[in-house]
Amino acid sequence: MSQTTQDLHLVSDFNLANFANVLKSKVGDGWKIRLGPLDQVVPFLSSTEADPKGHVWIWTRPERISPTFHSALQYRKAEADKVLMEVDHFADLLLAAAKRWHKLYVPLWQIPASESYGAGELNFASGVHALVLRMNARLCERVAEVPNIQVMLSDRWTQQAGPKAWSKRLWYLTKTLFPNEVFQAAANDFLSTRKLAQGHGIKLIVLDLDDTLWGGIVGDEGWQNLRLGGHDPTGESFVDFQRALKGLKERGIMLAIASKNEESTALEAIEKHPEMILRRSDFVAMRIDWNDKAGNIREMVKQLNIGEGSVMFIDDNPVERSRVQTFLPEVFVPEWPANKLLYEQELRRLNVFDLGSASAEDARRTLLYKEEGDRERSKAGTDSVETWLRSLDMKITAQPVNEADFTRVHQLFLKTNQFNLSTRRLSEKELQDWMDHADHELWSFRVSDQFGDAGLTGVLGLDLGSGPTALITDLILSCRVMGRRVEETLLHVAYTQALSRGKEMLKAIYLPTERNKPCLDFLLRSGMHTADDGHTFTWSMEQPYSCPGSLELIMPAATTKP
Amino acid sequence: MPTPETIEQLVLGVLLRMNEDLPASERVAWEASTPIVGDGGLLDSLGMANFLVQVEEAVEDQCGIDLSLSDQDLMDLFEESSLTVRAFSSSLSRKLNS
Repeated sequence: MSQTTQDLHLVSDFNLANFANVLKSKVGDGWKIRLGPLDQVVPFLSSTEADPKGHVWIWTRPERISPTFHSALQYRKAEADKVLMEVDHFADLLLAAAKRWHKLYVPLWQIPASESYGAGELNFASGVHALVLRMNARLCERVAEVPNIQVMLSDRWTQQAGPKAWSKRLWYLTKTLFPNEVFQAAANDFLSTRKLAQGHGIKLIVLDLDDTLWGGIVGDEGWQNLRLGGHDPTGESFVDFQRALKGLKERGIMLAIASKNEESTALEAIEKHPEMILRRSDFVAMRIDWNDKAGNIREMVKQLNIGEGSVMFIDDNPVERSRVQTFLPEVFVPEWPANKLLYEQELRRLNVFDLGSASAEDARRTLLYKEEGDRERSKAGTDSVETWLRSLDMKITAQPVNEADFTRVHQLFLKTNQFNLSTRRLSEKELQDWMDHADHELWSFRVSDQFGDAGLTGVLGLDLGSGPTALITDLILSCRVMGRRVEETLLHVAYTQALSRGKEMLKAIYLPTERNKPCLDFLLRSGMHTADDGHTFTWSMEQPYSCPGSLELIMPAATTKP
Repeated sequence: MPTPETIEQLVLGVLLRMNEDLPASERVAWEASTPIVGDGGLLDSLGMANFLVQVEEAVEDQCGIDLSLSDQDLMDLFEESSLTVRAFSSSLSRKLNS
């Protein structure tokens, strides 16, 4: 896919020229940073300027948004209700702008914590610091339901910058509110946000055991003597670290183990230690042996059928970290603190987990992958792939996407990389608008078999507009169900829908990315005719595109749009 | 009191740190003879303001001296036809030692 440039407009009531430079130094050629005129926030938000693909960073000071709050900063009395009305007015402008732009980024308001406004500064009715808290809470409430407004936690940036986070020198010389340390942290958050929005978050954490998940060497000391829980600062910190990992697992992040140990010894510790928070069932895969960890991780990644770029490796041993990073360069290997008391803090500091909109499938992910493991093991006992597929007793339910499915379908649009025909990263609104078009059909596919329910794992998009050809716009399949004839089932449904509209031809245009070759590989073996360009595939409607016999397809009888 | 050499290193350190916040294409290979402002000067007005603030902070952090570079005497230096890193550092050193 060709690299397209995206615009990021910076709109503020203070000088963001330094922030623009910092962003330019970090974001690369894919972004064009556009610095708006100083202190023109309200005119910008009130204007009709629009770009459905454009991003806007709107960074304001609370006193510029609320004149009443400005009075409070001058040590005058301020009515909280009036301040909140002024916040509402700003929120209204944001909501209107969100309809014209792809995404808005709005840092929360701050004033320096060191500024003092007397004993009543946290007075809930009108204290200055209390007012800032209430302004931020009101803003968050007002925009919470709008997916393309991202409120940014700016406190984190000023905390990272430390006592020099507010520079009066820069303010009086250049009207720049913050030094570059704050802008660096903000730019990093922006990059993380974009990475997660594009489906590049971490899906699997691979963990070492000794001195990573517990204190001590289990093979030497025995599980009874590990430092885990109890009245021991180190033991307590390992329990907290495990609790945080367990929480991530419940939000859909998978956990695995890569440890150099005797397997039986390590498993005994996992099962028997009374303070273990993580038990065997919390791990989707384990490699506990004396083999090279990089090789073990590569095997687990292959088994789970996810990209190496979705994997994080945590190990206390810098030599192991270095080896894994060298041999698996796409795997994220964070520097890990030597001080064990800081493990949990370090985990929370990493902004690499997409926890914003967990779907039901996310919460069940570990179970789903365990079922996949059972399925693969059953494959070993059969003599051919077809026999194995029939033995799975697969059922696929296809239906037009409804409200209940929409979040998961949108997730698949954003996160699926390998089996994705066109990799259209649409916002929720763009997807909804596209779906609402009379000639467009969007189908969801649920896959289940005797081992379990893989859930909503496939999406088919069709443009059945005027003309003799039906265009497959989207062919998206989770890697969990690839290679089980679900691919052919999607094409079969595309065929039946095209037929019902009297089309003569079915067409798919493959748009290559760095990671979607599996989709091309399928199309090349799908039976469709391949054009000379190697990326356009067609099927004449004169010949039926059959549903695979190894599975049962359930779909509604009458499925044309009104 | 800091020596002129120490001040020159401090100033070069500030300029090199400023480079880190710039896009790669706008970074400068700063040396003692590189002009900061004036003919061939490499800092624009915002860059100069950033530079002054960071020099003030570096002098405060590293030498323990509270410095205000917005004083008129030093600002006058920037009206010279060309001010190199070394010339600026010498001036600053004289100011700090006066």
